[in-house]
Amino acid sequence: MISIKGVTKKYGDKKALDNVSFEVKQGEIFAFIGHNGAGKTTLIKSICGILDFDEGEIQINGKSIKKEPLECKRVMAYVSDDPELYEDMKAISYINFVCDMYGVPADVRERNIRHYAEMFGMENELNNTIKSFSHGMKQKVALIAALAHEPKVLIMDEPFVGLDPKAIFDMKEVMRNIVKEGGTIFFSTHILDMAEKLCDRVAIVKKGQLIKVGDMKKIKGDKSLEKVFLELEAKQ
Amino acid sequence: MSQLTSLLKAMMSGGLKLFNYQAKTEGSKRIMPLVLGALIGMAMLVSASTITTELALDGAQSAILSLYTLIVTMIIAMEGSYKAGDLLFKPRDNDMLLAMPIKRSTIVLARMIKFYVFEMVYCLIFLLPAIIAYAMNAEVGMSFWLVAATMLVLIPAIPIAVACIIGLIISTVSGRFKHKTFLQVTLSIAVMFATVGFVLFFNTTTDSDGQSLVMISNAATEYYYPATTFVKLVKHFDILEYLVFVAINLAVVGLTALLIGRFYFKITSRLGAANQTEFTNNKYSFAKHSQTGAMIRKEVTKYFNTPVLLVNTAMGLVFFIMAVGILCFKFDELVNSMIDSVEDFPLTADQVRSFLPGVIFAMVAFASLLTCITATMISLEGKAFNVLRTLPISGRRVLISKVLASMLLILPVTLSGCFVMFFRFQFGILEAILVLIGAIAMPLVTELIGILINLKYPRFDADNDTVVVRQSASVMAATFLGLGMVLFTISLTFGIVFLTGQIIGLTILDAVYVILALFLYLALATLGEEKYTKLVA
Repeated sequence: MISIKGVTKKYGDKKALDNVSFEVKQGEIFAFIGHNGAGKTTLIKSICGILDFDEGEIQINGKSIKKEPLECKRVMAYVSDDPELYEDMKAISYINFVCDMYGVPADVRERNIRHYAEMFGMENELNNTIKSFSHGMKQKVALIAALAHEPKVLIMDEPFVGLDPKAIFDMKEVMRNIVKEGGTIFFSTHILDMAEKLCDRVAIVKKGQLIKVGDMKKIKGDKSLEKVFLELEAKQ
Repeated sequence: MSQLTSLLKAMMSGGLKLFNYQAKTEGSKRIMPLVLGALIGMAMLVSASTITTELALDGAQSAILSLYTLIVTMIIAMEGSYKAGDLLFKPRDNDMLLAMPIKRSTIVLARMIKFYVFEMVYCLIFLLPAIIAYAMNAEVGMSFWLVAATMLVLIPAIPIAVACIIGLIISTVSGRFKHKTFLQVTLSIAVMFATVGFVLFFNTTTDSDGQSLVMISNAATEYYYPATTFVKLVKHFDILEYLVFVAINLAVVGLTALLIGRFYFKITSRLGAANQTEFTNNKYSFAKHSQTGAMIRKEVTKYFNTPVLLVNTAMGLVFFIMAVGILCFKFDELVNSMIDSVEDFPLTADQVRSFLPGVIFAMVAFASLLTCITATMISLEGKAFNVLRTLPISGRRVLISKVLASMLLILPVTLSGCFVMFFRFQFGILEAILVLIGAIAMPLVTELIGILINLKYPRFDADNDTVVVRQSASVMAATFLGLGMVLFTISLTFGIVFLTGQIIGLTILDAVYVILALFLYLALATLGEEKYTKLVA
């Protein structure tokens, strides 16, 4: 579970996040949407412990990311929109490196890496260096590395950018399986159709402020999420 | 022209940011560059003034100008030749610029100008003090200052053109082979040794007649056009000769850009050909490692895949290996020639041999204090630093792993060299232990300083690895600090050993370095970790 309470982040005088509060419950897929520069990546980086925030509190499964960052990170995985990985490493070395950081036993990592590599069509590619991969392949490596240690909380920033249609389909299945087993998924996206079909709950952010949060069905009602989003954007 | 101006504006916008601070908020970060700049400036001015005063006794003070012109030229040519390839052909914005309607020679010219502006720092460090020292020792008029200012700007032109052409050759040759990195490193080291060999040959030739400084400067004035013109124009200003000099230097840069522009597309395409899948199998290793072990493996992989870092940091170690070899095989010959050539040499061959532990200590100091790998290790993470921040590993462990990885790269070389010397010259156990303690403590101090400096001045947004390794504040600070420590330690080694004897002298030096290492470790574990948690790529 992710709990965000009164989080404010300033860059100089500008508030990138302004008193943002909401919860992402265990076993749900939660979409975080907003226009470019609304504060999505800032919040995601704050949740993952990359970025410090000025006020408020973020907890992962009841533990504070500020006070117990390592405990929080042990149950969490992060996939960025721009897969900046260690380019000089072979893909398998990179995935093993991430697994080493989480202390994943050899048999567990072998099973998971082979499973996800096959799912994403990368089973014969992992001995190549990451710099030889396309953007989409790098994104797949990042996803395999994130999933190999069986995270309880998966946080993703635009995870579908660069993925091919089959990988997107498979990734959606993976996400459903993770929450079925009690995991939590929080991700940002601009693909509103997908968010509408995939997610249980949604939060909409604008200029650092939360303008709507709740169940997907209640928020969109009879309309599409896209329409609701555009109306909210125009109103505020 | 407007295309070039716009291109330069874009390229310069972040590329020359050395000490990355904002004017109002990070005032403390200004102290280090100011102190460092003042110290280097003072040291260079004192050294140039001393030489000029000596030269002025013979009325040859203008020799300082040709001498320092030559020094700047050699430094830029040598240092530039192994980074030019990466700076010209491997920046991140290549694809974007090649997709635009810009002439390739314009792209090359813009990259060369950016490279040029950075290399002018050597003119400021070496040539400016020489100019001031000359002005203090001679009567100078307005024309002198015009010539001096022009030289400060134009002296890098020829060495940069040479460096770019060498970079072009290295990139062209290595681009044709599968193991591009290996070939690039080998060729770069070969060029570096060729340059050092040339300098040594030049020095030996001129040294034979004594008065080496005057001889070198005379040779420079005679054979090297910029040095010749500099001295000529200072002595008798001639507007025509001045304009011809400016035109020739501008033409050299322009023509080099045109030449490289012709090959630019082919080379970038060949270097980009690495982007092809090479292995297609599913035989993988899934062995588990500790967090520290995994971090060290990552750092070592990065080190061996970053040619410019390898070449940059291997220099001290390669010289160390060469010195060990020379001492092992030519020791008696060296000592005898030293005793023969120096009148009233105060020591016998046996006495010189008894000072060997101190000599090896000084050699290790030279090799390890000049090899600072950690000064780049945080910056080289680039944007992937954010990935590291999301992993469940403490900042302290990350930082210590980086120091350990560097030690793992340095120690096998320095310790092997020490052991070879111990067996060859049959050292006593106590002397051997004292040298070994120093051989571990000195690189540890350097690497701890390097990582602390890189924490203070990280650079995650560099165009490529070469910019981090050769053009970042962190590396410059670590290099100058290392040079200072080398000079300090070597003079202290001989001073203390001579005054107190071998055992006491080496014990004092070991104690200094061990205490320093402990102090720096504590700083890394406390302040360092605090700083680490605030860094964002």
